[in-house]
Amino acid sequence: MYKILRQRSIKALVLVLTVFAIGTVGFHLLLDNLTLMDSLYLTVVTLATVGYGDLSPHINMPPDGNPYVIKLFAILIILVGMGSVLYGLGIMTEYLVSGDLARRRNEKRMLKLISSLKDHYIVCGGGRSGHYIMQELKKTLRPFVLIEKSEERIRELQHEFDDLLYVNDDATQDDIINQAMPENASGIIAVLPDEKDNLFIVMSMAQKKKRSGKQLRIAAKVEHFKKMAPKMKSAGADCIISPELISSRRMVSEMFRPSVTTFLDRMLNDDRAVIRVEEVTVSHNSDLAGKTVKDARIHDRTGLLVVAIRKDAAGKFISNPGPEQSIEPNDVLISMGEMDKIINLRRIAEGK
Amino acid sequence: MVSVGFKHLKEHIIICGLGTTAMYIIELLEPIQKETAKHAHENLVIDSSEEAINKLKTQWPNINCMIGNATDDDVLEQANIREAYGIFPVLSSEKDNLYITMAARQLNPRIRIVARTADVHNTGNKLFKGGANSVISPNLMGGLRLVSEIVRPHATDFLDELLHQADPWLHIEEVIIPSDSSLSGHMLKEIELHKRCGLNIIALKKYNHSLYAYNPSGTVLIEDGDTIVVLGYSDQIDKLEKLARGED
Repeated sequence: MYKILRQRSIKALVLVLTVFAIGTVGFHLLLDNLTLMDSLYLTVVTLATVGYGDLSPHINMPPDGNPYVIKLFAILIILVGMGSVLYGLGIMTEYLVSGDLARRRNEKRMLKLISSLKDHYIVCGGGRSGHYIMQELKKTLRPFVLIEKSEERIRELQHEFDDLLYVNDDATQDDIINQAMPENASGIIAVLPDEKDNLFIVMSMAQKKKRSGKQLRIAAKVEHFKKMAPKMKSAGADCIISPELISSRRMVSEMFRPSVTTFLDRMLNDDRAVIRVEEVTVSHNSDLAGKTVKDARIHDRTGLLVVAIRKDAAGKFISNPGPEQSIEPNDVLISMGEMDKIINLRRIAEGK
Repeated sequence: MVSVGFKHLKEHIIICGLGTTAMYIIELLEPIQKETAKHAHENLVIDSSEEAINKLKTQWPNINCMIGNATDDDVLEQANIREAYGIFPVLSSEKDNLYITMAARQLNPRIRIVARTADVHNTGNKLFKGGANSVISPNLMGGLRLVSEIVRPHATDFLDELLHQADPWLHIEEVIIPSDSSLSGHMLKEIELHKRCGLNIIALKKYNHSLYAYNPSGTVLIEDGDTIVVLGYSDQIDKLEKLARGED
């Protein structure tokens, strides 16, 4: 639709230019003492219905000219010329308006898709960190919505993320974040370049969470950990990360420790499949609840082993649970494996 | 105070560029240097801004520092890079870090280079090719950590427990089945590892494969030279190793 209109605008432009050219050359040949510049001027003045009266077919009629031919030519130029100019303007207007309409329709569709999401993650800021965050979310098959101010950046990211769900606006405005449906989300990650903006997002999300009483994990990136972490904490952030601090720690340990790739490193970078250490929480209506590890037959059903069980939220892990270990509601099971298997285990654990 | 040079320094660590990362590194190096006082690595900071250096001096009065551009080979020579233990190129410019990495590797083949980049894919690969031992990206590490903490907080706790040495230390260990082990020739479920040492096998690499199979099933056959991966406490893993060697 857009493309057809563009082609039509080009055609209209060519038509208008042709009429101007014919008018200019015609007046130059038919009238007395008119240079090409004068003729062009006369054509424009005529077609714009301005008619100053300084030049005209009447005034500049040569003594030996045929008034019929000249007047007929003028009539032709006026009729054809005005027609094509009006047509061209119409096409241009349609072209501009329809671009706007297409964008608005797209936005509406986007909002509809976002409002149908459940347990998704909201990423505020599509910079480098945001980019890596979205890659990991995509790899581990988790739905997410990006809030990013720059339209250009969104276009760039769309090359990599085909069906990117996004809100193209400033994430530090409450009504903008609300478009990403935080009330249905599982978590929100604030990675805007300015840590004060992230603090603002944390505060407004923490308030929302308090009011709704829903589970929503809030994470933020900070630059100056010592200065910002206490503020983020009291604002209600569940997780505060200074990329500079954690990477410096890693850099220092790499300086002294010969770089050995560990089993975990190799597992995370396995290029056959996305393998992760993940968790699932056992719900009351899951058939795993109340069984022993042996009777739950998790390996037969999902191909996964439970490497550890955590009985309460901050408690110790029971590693290598034996066949007689009991599984109860609210237990957290830690497993390691391909994401599709993990999702399958999660479905069983949630009793769906 | 500047160009006297630091030719007397040996086995030192050079930090190029005084940004947030450098400040964290200096702070983190301090306890390590105290701990290993016998063969301590002194620090040497290079930055082109006199103001930044003076500010650093107020916080760390005894630190060695040079005002100069670390992308200048003469400056690196004055920093006695040829006898240094390691270097952190942590300037804000990716190009400068790449240049320093390459220059450092040329001037000192055995120096440890731990570089930083914002862009793992492009600059990261170039840094490795240029001679870096290790390349760290704050954006990547920070991003992955943020996701982990949000989407799998318990699993993240669990991994932290695995990675941070404590007593007793839960960790992952790879055990190679020695030839003529009593375990080989049996299926996984037959060796009853859980009963004998409290361990489950989380992954297995066959002797003739280079890749791991995760969550192996009970019917997999164990043979000489296979690698089994377990997660457990040191005493459990000791038991397994003894078992594999046939000392049980």
